[in-house]
Amino acid sequence: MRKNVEVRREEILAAAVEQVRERGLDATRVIDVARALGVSKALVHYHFDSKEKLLAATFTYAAQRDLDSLDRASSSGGTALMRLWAVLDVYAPTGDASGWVLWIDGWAAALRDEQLRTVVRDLDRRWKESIAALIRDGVESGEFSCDDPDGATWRITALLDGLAVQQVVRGGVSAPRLRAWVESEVARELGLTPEHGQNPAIDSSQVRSLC
Amino acid sequence: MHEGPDRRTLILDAARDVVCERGVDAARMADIAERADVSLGLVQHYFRHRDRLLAEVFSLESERITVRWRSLVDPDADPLTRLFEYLRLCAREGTDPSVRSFRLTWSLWLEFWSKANRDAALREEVAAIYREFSAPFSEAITEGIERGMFAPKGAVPDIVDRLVSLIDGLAIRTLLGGMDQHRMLWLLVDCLCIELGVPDEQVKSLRQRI
Repeated sequence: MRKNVEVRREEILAAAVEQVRERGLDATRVIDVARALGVSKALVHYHFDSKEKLLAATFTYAAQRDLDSLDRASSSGGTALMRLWAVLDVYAPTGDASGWVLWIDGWAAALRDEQLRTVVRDLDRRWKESIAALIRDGVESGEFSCDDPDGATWRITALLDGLAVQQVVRGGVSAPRLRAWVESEVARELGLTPEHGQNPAIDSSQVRSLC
Repeated sequence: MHEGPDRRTLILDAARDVVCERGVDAARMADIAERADVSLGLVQHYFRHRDRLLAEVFSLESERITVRWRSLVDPDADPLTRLFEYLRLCAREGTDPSVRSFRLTWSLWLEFWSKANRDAALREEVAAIYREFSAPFSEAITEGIERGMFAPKGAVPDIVDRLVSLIDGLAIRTLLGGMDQHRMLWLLVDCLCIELGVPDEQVKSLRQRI
């Protein structure tokens, strides 16, 4: 019984993520989530007694899913560059950018909601810690040359955040062009020649299965 | 009738403040009218639809930024100085009364992105706003290349797109925590100098002005 309740809760959150992506944070109602699952509004309310609680839990759930992908990517094995790219491929808007839609809404809402701000900030900190650690690994093993791994992490991730905004909101940059930018940025930060900065798993089938 | 434009601006400013405080979706016409201390009928008279009002809020803000930049940055200064000043204006403290606070300016853009995400009409506005925001950067970089000051590897529109992305990305994290305005400017100057191939001596003197 307890297990069933847990599964239900997770199903509701997964459905809520989809609804928020499609409709936007403010336009998503409890009834939309219930309809998407073919369950009653009462069942959703049994798990989450208000829309606010449901949406807060939705972002926490989405953040946890992102972190699970991050953990899988950063422990995927291979050289530091391969692992770094596995992580950046999950993060960057070069593939499926739909995850970013949710976070762009989340950023705006986080300005007015301290709990959500904590979720967003913790998620961001975890990404940056992982990326900086991979850069340090690469510096130690002699793969990369980088004096300032934290600064490099900031410049790479801030570029990706901004590109994600452009990609999602404006749809201006083609995926190959975006990828080329990210590759040259990574190469420059890590002291690699442009060819060597490239993502070794360029066909990305292995990476994509992680997402 | 002659007082029309003022009242219009008054309503737009009230709308901007309500959007920043409550979020774009929660900003109702009635709330905006109340904030502007005018009737709902007057708001509807000027703007008819809420979406039109919101689109104008965002485009007015972008126009004002352009005007502000033009008045605050000496057009005869050398291109690198101008670029530095633009970056400083993006990242500066809200202490200068001629500049709206960092938080208010950027929280409006966060709202704008979140809204434009799902609004086709507003997407066109986004493209126009990005063009307007990018123009001073493009002009200064192009002039610097012509005068032999910069030797960038990439094409000018690509450099500007990357710079604008970086500004947006750093501003988001400054608003939400983890970054501050000083470090934001420092990172922006680094990136600008790397992109444009600015000699170390000049990089140093720019850094001293941060």
